[in-house]
Amino acid sequence: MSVYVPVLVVYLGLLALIGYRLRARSRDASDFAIGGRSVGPWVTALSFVAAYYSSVVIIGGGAFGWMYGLSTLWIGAGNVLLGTTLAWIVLGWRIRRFTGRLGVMTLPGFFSERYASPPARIFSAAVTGLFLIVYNVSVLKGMANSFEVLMGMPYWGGVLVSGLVILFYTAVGGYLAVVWTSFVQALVMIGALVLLTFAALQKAGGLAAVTQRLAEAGPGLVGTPGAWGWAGLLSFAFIVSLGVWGMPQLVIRFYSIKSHKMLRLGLVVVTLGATVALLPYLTGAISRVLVPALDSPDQAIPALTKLVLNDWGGAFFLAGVVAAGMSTFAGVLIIISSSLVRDVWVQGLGRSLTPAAEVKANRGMSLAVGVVSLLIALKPPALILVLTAFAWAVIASTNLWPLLFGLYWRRTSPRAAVWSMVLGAAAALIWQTASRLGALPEAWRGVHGFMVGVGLALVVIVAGTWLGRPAPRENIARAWGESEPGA
Amino acid sequence: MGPFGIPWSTFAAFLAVLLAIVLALAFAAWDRIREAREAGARDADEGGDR
Repeated sequence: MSVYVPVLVVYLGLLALIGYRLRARSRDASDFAIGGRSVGPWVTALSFVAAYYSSVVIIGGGAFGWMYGLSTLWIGAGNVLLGTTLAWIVLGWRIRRFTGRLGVMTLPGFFSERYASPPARIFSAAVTGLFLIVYNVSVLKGMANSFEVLMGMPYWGGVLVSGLVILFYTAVGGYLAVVWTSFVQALVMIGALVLLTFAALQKAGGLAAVTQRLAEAGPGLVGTPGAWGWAGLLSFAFIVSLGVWGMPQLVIRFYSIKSHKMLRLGLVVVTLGATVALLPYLTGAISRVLVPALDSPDQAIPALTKLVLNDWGGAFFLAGVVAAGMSTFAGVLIIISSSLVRDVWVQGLGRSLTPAAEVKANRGMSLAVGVVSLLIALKPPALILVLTAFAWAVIASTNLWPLLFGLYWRRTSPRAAVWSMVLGAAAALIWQTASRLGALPEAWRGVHGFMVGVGLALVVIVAGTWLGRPAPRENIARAWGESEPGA
Repeated sequence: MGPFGIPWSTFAAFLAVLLAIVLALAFAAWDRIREAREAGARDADEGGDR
């Protein structure tokens, strides 16, 4: 405990200092929301990794590894291949070019300009704002639980310490502070996971010994699909990998990189960084061998940390877990505030703001949204806890296809995009609610709302585009960087 | 059985990650070549215009 305090004070102080040093770099809304499109490849890539993997992934991934064994490595592999490498290849280049040409700085802003559709902007901003706040509460809760378990700090203390530091550097330093702190946090998180994995493997006598002892511990802990079964394993890997393609806090990294040329180095760096996704699942499986008796699978990683690391190592690992949570929270916070100010206040309500006033509005909004998230996280109502399970599915069902089709299919109909958003989000929400209430037939309960929402949204956007009209030529020409015919 | 006594069905997860790294390197290299070709073609066009 005594070691944990100085490590965390130094670490959190460093993050606050980064935010403070970058305060003067936010001169207008573009600086505050996307760093003035000036971020380099290393920072873009590693901040993507940090925003992707929250503390919930580390603790929850370990729990899955403990429960289901080595087959869960496929979830991490899906995160790397589909959630990172293919996401960068398929989305990165086009998003950087399109958003630059359209002059937009948020995902709802992209929908508005690409489709000439204010309803698409408003719906995406509303769903994103509401459900990202809910998602942020779950991230904050995960961080506070980590403080509680690893350090013995009261839950409310964990919420306040981590939340207030994030609020400070996000409101003061804007997007640049978010990505630079995320860069540092990614390094800490990667270092912490590598340290824990090596220490755990050493304690267990190597990977071959782990495999042998897992096979003895229970059938299905070594092979694939193992105890989880194909349906559970594949659908979960799919949700946490493809869902990323519609998450604004991740795709915003493609808006803000300095140029599309820098995506090349970024792609290689992000793929290498993302490989740490395997480690929570691997260490979770190792913990099944080393700490087989637990009250709850969520204790797997904390218990393993206490067993194989000394106090300094444990403090470093806690910093890594907190880093994962903080970077995700900050990334989400800046998205919500810039979306509410730009897409709802300025564009939606038609309020004109000077560049300095818009930066101030963004700072105020990020503080307000952050304080609301903190207050909810201190004592989350039951409804919020239920909604956290829906957030990822609803946001992805809203944004994924209108974004992907908007980048690749010129004909995509604006009306089809809006209906795809509305029906996809509604389907995900209704399915998850019905599943929770036990209103679905037994055989369907294993199907996640994400699959239903994203599936329906895909059908709607394709069918609606065949039946409907494309966006105005001017908007398509601007997005594709072509001069208008006759212009 | 694959390396470390892990069945191939599970060990393939590591290979999938390796595939992602190879894919990233190959795509980055291809994009660089494509851009150089496009720049070359543009230069040739501009030379012809003159």
